[in-house]
This record gives sequence, C-alpha cells and structure tokens, in this order.
Amino acid sequence: MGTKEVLDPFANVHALASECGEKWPSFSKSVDKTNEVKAILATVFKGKERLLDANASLVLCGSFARNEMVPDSDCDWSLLIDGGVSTKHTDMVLGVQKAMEEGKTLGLKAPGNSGVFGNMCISHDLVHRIGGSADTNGNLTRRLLMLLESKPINLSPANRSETVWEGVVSSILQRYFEEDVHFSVKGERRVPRFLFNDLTRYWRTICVDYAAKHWDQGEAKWALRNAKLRFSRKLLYASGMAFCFACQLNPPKPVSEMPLFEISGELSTKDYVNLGKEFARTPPLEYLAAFIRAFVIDDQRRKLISSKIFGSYNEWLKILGDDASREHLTSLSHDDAREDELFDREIRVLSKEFASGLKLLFFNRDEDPTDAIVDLSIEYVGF
Amino acid sequence: MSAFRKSNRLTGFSTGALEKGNYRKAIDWMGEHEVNTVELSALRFDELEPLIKGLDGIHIEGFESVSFHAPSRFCVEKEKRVIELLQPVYERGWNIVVHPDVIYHPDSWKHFGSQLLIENMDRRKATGRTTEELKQWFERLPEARLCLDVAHARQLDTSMRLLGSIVHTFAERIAEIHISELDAHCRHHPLSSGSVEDYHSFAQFYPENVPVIIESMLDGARSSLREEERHLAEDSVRASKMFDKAY
Repeated sequence: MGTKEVLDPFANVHALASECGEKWPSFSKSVDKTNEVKAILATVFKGKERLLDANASLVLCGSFARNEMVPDSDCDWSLLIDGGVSTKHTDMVLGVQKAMEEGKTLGLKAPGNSGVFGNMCISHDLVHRIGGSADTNGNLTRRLLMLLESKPINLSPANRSETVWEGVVSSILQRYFEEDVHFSVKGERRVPRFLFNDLTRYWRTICVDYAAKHWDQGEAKWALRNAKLRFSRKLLYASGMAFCFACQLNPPKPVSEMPLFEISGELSTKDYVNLGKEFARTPPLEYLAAFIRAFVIDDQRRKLISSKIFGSYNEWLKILGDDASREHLTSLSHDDAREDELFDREIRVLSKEFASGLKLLFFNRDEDPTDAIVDLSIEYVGF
Repeated sequence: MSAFRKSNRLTGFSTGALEKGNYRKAIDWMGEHEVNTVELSALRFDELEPLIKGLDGIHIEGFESVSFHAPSRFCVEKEKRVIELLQPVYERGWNIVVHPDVIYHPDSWKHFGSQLLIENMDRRKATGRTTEELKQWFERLPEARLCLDVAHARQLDTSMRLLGSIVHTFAERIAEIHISELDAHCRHHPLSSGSVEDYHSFAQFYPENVPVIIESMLDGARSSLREEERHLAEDSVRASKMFDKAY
C-alpha cells in the first residue's frame, strides 16, 4: 500500500473543529474504518502482487477514497488501464473480482461488475472524450470521480498503480487547463471554466440520475440515495467548486502548511495540473476545510460556515455508521418518509444545515459585500 | 548471506537495472548473491568510457557469462569512437549488445563478428522492431546474432505473434535474452503474471544455453524482490516443467 499518506487525512477539518470548540468524532471513526478496509485489502491481495501489469492501476473510489467509510460501505473499484491493448487486461479484472469476492469473508463489500465500478476503465476515453455524444454518462462519471474521489492502491513495489493513476489524472487535467489557459492573459489566475462547467454538468447529472433511478427502480433504497445526494454527492461538487475557485483566488496570507493552493513564479498549464493533482489526492472534506481555512478571513464567519458544514456532516456520518439507521433508510418508503423521525426530523434538517453552510461559503455576502468567493460564485455559477 | 537459489540457467541482471549509474555496486550485490550472469550496461554515451577504463578493476571472476550493452543513443559523429572504445570488450571475448538504430555504418561493426548482438527494438524506434526489419540487419551483418528482448516484442504485439515470429525465424541466432515488462512509455518494470505467462508460451523455443538478462528496473529494490524477479525470469523461459502459478 504505497499510496502517499499523511498522518491525519483530516488535519484541516480537525483544525476547524478546534477553532469551533468541537470534536466531530465521526471523521476519525471513518478514517479508522477506512484504514481497517485498507488492511483487509492488503490481506486479500497478498500473494497477488504480480496480478497487475505496468499499465494498470487498481483505483478505489467512493467512501474509501473520501476516507469516509462506515460499517457496510461498498469498496468501489475500477481497473484503470493506460497502455496498449492486451487480452491480459481481462485476466486482471477477473483476478481483482475474484480477490474482492474472497475478501467478503473478511468483511469487504465489493460492487457488482455490471455498473460503473468493478470493471475496466480505459484512460483514452477519459482523456479524449470530454463532451460530445461519445462522452457517455458512465465516462463522465468515471472521469470526474477520478478527480474528485479516487485513490490508487499499490499492491506491492512491483506494480505501478500510483504512477499510472497520476499519469491519467495529469492528462485529464491537462485537457481541462490547456483548452482554458490558452485563452487567458499570461500570468493571470482564473477559474478554469471548462473544468467548472464539466463539474457542474456532473453534479446536475447525478441529480437527474437520482430521478431516473427512482423511476426505474421504484422505492428501493430511495431514502439512502436521497440522503447521499444531500451530503456526499453535494460535497463532491462543493470541493470541486473550491478547487476551481482556488485556481483564481490568491491566498490572503502565506499558508505554509497548505501547499494545496500554492503557485509561484510564472504560470503555466503544468502549475495548474500540479495543483489539480494535489486536489485529486486530497479527500473532498479535507480540501473544503483547507479552502475555508485559506480563504475565509473573518473568524466568526469561518466558524459559522465550518460548524454548519462539518458539524452536520459529522452527524450524517454518525447516522450512516449506525446499522439500524442504515437499515431503516434502506427500506423506507416514499410515503413513510414524510413522517419519519430519522429521515424527516434528522436527515432533512441536517442536510439543510449542510447546504446553508455551503450557501454561506459560496453565495451569502450579507456579512461581507466584498467577499471574493461570492464574487466568483456570481460570475461562474449560473449565467 | 545469499538467499538466492542456485540456478543451472545463466540468469542475471543488467547492471543499470539494479543500480542506475553505479555498476560497481550492482556487481558487488550480484557477487554477494551468487548471480552467475551479468550484462555491463553503458546505455548512456557518457557512461561508456568510464566503464571501459574500469574494466580491469571489475571482479568478474564469479560470473559464468559477461556481456556488454553499448550506448543506446549517440550521433553518427561518435560512432567511430564508440567502436574504438568497445574494442577491449571484444578482445575479452564478451558479446556486445547494440541497438540497430545506432549502427550508422554496418561495415564498421563487422569485425565484431558473432560477438555483435543486434537487439530487437521497442515501438519508439524506426527500425529493428519486426522480423522483416531484423532480417535486413542480418543481411548487412551476416555474422551478427540476436539479443532477443521479449518485452520489446510483447509491447509491439500483445497477441504475441511477433515474438513467436522472431523466435522461430532467428532461433539459430539468439545469443542472449532480455526480459522485463514494458509500460506504455517504454520503461522497464518488474514482471507481472500476465507477461510471465506470455513469455513462457514460447519457452520450448528459447535456446537453453543462452544467458537471460533481467532489465526490470530494480534500482533501490530490496533483495527479496530482486530474487523473486529472477525466479520469475527463469520460470518464464523454462520449457520442461510446469511453472508455479502462485506468483
């Protein structure tokens, strides 16, 4: 497991917790659970260190990549291929599927292999098919998730999951920035509009697909999907927005412990790609926390935003981590939800609190009419 | 103390793959681990002269097979100097591996005779990749033999027809085998189970007595990984026995 690790993947979240006088313990519990799954993966793939070739990367997405695992979380994976075609790639996919299946006895919950996850993902589609009719829903999802919530798993020094993942992520970012930076004034920092539009498209696609799934699948798991849309899916969009805005915003003060936003000297596409890679390596909650710490200058406003966003998310993870609550949400019908204590009184209230924190961060300028973040939201979101 | 198993086959490492830019350290490590085969690597032009000057100081007595990899890139103006510098290698009776795209004047290389090994190329090169392209080189240098790079052939054709064609066409000329796995950027990496299986499918056709040189980049890798790589390389070319698929 050679992926770049930091001691506390939520260091900035915890710094904000201290500032707010809070603990938000669900985040640490999720990190522990994620590490537990990481250890299971290491056991499952022991003896299979030569399974992947030099052009393949085992990439985990979802709650694992966000460091937000709770009991019963799925282990969403893709086999990312960045190289010449080979029939051996199918053997690799089957090998990973088999290993994940074996991992069930250790508590691993793997996805099926007919959807977006649990299968092969080819780099060329991710890089060359951005927009247009060839950019399918699945391709859009895989591409954006590669930036927003993905983590390569190095099985041993003999395979190159991290390098392959980094190369593909760099190429995706290069597409977004080359086609944008070309038109910018040299040296001027700006929001990458191409990326931001695609990010917005992805967020809206998730929202529309939620309705499509409800149409196709009826009420099965309806409440759980709805709740995830309110929290983890929305979080992805918010962290992506934060990254796009950070490309333009200049940090108000040197923040040496936060290289996530640092560009020095003359700007080039490479600088933006490097920023993007750091963003892709950072869990979305942590990135959003770092963004707030770097760019929300007013102490009271920062505390208010933080307590709304992370306080509510902490409670959401607590609910999601509770077996009975999760079970309840899985079987809750649409009609019953209106009167349901957990869904209506807790999740809806918490999600509104979460959304109000994001609105305060990105849109509300009541307290500061010169807020630079809000300026960018007005400029880029919508019209 | 070495944990390496003794091998009947001539299997060893390229010095450059074990220790980039430090052939002495690579040779010392191989000596300590009872590796019986070595390829001295001067892949960069600047490495050639120091390595040639240092030949007398190298402890090669423990090796049953020594070969020498000439620089892979230099301009036509330097060709004569390269050939001059390689003369002591030739006089020692060691095989000289050369990439065909730096043979600008074939006649100047002819005197190396059968000690000159032309290596089949990866997809970056414009020549020496396919059976037909290699045939042209052996027409120009009829005494030269082949350094079969199985990873280069596999990179060009993962269906393995090219490797099969090269092996069958030039079976009599194969004098050394290079083994590793190539990524899409032509960098050498440790073997995966898929490449071992692919290489092994032609194992009965690889000549038994030729040295096998591992080119997988193992610079900084722990000894156990290097050992495992050697076992896999041997399994890849071993014809007689079923190899262990537990890798």
